[in-house]
Amino acid sequence: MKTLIIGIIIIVNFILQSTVLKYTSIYNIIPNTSLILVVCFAINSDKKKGALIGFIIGILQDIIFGKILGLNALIYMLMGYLITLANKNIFKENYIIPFLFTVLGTVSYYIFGTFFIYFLGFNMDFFNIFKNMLIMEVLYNAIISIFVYKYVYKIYKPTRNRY
Amino acid sequence: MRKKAVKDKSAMIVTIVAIILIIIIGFTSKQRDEITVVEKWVGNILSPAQKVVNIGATTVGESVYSIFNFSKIARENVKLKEEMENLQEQLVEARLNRDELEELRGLRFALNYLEETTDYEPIAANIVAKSPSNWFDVFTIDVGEDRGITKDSIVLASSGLIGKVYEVGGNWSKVISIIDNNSSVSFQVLRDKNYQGIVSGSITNELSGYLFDPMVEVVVGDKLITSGMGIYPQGIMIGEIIEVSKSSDQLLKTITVEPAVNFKSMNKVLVITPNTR
Repeated sequence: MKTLIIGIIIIVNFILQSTVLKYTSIYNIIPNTSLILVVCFAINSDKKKGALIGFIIGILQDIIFGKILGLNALIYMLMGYLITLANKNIFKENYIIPFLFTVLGTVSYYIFGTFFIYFLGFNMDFFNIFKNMLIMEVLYNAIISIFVYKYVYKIYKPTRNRY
Repeated sequence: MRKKAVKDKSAMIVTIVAIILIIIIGFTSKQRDEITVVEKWVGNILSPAQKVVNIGATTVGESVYSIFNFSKIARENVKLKEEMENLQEQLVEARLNRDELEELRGLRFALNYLEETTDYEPIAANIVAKSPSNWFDVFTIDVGEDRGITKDSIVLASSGLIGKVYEVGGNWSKVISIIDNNSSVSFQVLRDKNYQGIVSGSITNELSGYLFDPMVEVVVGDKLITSGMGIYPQGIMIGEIIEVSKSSDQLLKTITVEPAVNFKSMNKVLVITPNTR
């Protein structure tokens, strides 16, 4: 049941992110809800699932929009795995946790992605990326992640109470 | 002991998948001739759903917009009516010119003059979805192999050039726009076709470029069209120059261009598949 809900959320998020979300852009920046979902699911789930969810979300985005297949999948999978490694030691009710992880996640997503794209021989303007996008998107993502986290936390909560 | 083995197992799977992904990234970073069957099917299933959602969102968005901007739209209406009258006059003139041109073409045919074959077949398409990623400016449209779209087909809006088809799926294809930071277009100034150069996109979605000859006089407001070199046919509107700069240490005259197409609000596009290629 939980798997089904998570699957539906992933598909719905993907469709909405590429169609409706462009109406919410601030200064040309669209919040990266895929990344937020990976972070929120990873905080709550165990290791295997965190990496798997990251992989699925990433590969979907790559197939439909990517010029390079596998880049998002790789980043999201590692992100999901690394966050789940830490999630035994954190206090899950606290909303500052998804905020912090999303900030870290967005920054590392950019650094890692830019690094890859640069070494694959694409044109890159480092300074402009960081100036125009990073700061704004980090804030935007982090704020939205708090709201997303509330709902993701609810999905996982009942099963935890039972045991 | 058992717990440790399980931990190692998941770490190993992640590592193996990561290595496989890095290999895939290496293979797919250059433009491919054809996409794999799996990709095609995922796209075939998802793009109709995206299309429905997108149409819904656009309808709602536009009606909300028109409620809030009622007075602006009324003003625009008056302006458009004036413009239409002007255009109607021009249309009559154009019709006369066309008749004359056809007569001349007939003459040319009669004289066995060699015909230039530029046979283009425009196909109308809807934009389905736009890439949420900030690195590449890619979007998908709702036509693909089923309508005979091929790789490197040209995508236009009514006002100008948008880009080219990058990959083709069953009923969808990926389009990469000219403001993507890896695409470049060769242009000529509409005023004088000898003024030529290249514009390319950037990560900030601005078009900037340079002229081959630094001595030519271009001014702000000059219109640029495609020059016919490369994959784009000649005579498609690209945009308008909004800034000309020349620094003493650079031998080139650089320009900043505002695209003719509004890339934020596109819905309908035309795809041209050249028959002769």
